Amino acid sequence: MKPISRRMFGKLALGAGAAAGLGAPACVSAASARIVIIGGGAGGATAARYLKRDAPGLDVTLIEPKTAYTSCFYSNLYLGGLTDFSTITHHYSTLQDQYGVRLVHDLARDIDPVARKVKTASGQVFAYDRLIVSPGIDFHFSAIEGYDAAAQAAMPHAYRGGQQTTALRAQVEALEDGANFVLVPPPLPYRCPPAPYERISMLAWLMKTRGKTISFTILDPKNSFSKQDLFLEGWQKHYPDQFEWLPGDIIGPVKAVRPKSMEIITEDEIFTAGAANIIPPQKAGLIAHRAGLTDKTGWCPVHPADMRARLAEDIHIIGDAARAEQMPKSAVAANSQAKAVAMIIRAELTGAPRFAPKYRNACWSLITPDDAIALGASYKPGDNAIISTGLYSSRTEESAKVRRAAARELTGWYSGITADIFG
Amino acid sequence: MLYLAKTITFWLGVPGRPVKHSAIAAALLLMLAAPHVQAKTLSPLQMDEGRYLTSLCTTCHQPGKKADGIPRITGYSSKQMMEMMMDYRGGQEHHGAMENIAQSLTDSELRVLSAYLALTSPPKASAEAAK
Repeated sequence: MKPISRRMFGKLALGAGAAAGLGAPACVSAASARIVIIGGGAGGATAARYLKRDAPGLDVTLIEPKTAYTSCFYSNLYLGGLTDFSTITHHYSTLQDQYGVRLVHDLARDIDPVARKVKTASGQVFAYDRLIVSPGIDFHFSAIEGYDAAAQAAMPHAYRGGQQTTALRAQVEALEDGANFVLVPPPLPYRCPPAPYERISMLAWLMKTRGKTISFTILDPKNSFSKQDLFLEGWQKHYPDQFEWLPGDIIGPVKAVRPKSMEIITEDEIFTAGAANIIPPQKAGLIAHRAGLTDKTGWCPVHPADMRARLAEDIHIIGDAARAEQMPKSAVAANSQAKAVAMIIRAELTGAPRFAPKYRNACWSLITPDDAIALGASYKPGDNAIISTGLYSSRTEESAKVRRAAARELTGWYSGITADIFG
Repeated sequence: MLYLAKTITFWLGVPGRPVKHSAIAAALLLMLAAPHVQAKTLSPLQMDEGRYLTSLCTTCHQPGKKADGIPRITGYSSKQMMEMMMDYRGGQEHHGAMENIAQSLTDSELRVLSAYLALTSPPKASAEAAK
């Protein structure tokens, strides 16, 4: 391990107060141990709930700017007109009132790993004995020329939940019969690999219920995508001849966008869209970069056994921001990493027993409201990486009954995982 | 805590379920090699393990209630739960996620998990709660 602490300490200049934290004891009693968690999504909120549930004596602070959290997972069902916005919006009141998590609605801006302190945008400083960093994703906006704030409004990414999601739905609803919609998925790695393809299925469904036939063009930087055979089969079955998927080898990556004329520009061609969804390349959330937790990939390397940052001590990184190797970035993955890390921190700080971490992923994608395809896997820590111990997937030519059952599970799963995250 | 003092019996094999000879041999070997596998009670350590393992279930299943397409996992005896999980593991029952999770857990982990669920939400109490 190569601590970045000295360099970071000089850079951060948290002030004289920070110096007092130097040399804090490595062992702390359960009563006084302070856990600070950055990010109140599927990773951070789960970790907060499990820490307080299993070790109520720990002092747990969750720093999250938003008072209402809109999940990115399941938001494709909102885009398809299958659920409303309030269903995908969650609050922190149970975590706060029932579990005793201290909620701080502020933006974590800097981490001083030597003094073990987090500083927020409003200037608050929180000392920690253990820090969990779960900031989700950020975007490489500059990778697509012209994708500035105006372009993000005209061609939403809709990939972090919230207002971007409602904007995309409104723009699609406004399309005329026969219009063209363009989807630009991101290159790997990115949050929830099948989601762009489920999204475009849901938008096709939405417009079908509005009596409009839209043509969908996918300008993919990749040459293959998650659940590809299943999606291609489903599109041909439910939305025949409406979809055109153009892989990277044929079309090349999208170079630029012109939001005023709704043009999307690749190496050789210009596409004009009635509405568009541009999902830029992704990287770990901003705080991870500011704190020096990322490597040249733009994501945070972690030790597989405990999701501990490779580049700092006493910091765990969970969820999309972590480089969890074979594990995809998903809500279930973040939730399972959070529960493993909560168990490990409790063991280290209170002397409770420690077990082998169990990492998992599970994922359902809707093609229509009655046709869902599933995949998932179990993972365990290997010597240098988190590795898969077995996976499952829906198959092509499955019966309508099997697919309908999977679609019902998706609804039940969402109420289950959000209860597991937020209480 | 009172529930820690409670005892629970759980089963090495499940009656009525076809078991391969190799599985019986493996179980006998385990009994000889690891006496703790035959434990008749859930120790505080196993209670902690059961609680952690149950967190794998609650990503989808909500304790004490069923949801659309997701059945309840509480209100079963240890034996019933173990039987269901072994059926998923052996492929007698088909469900991608459940077969995967059953195959990812050891016999010992499945036993602790089944016993923990039964102990923390015994069949009678849960049946009444579900009414």
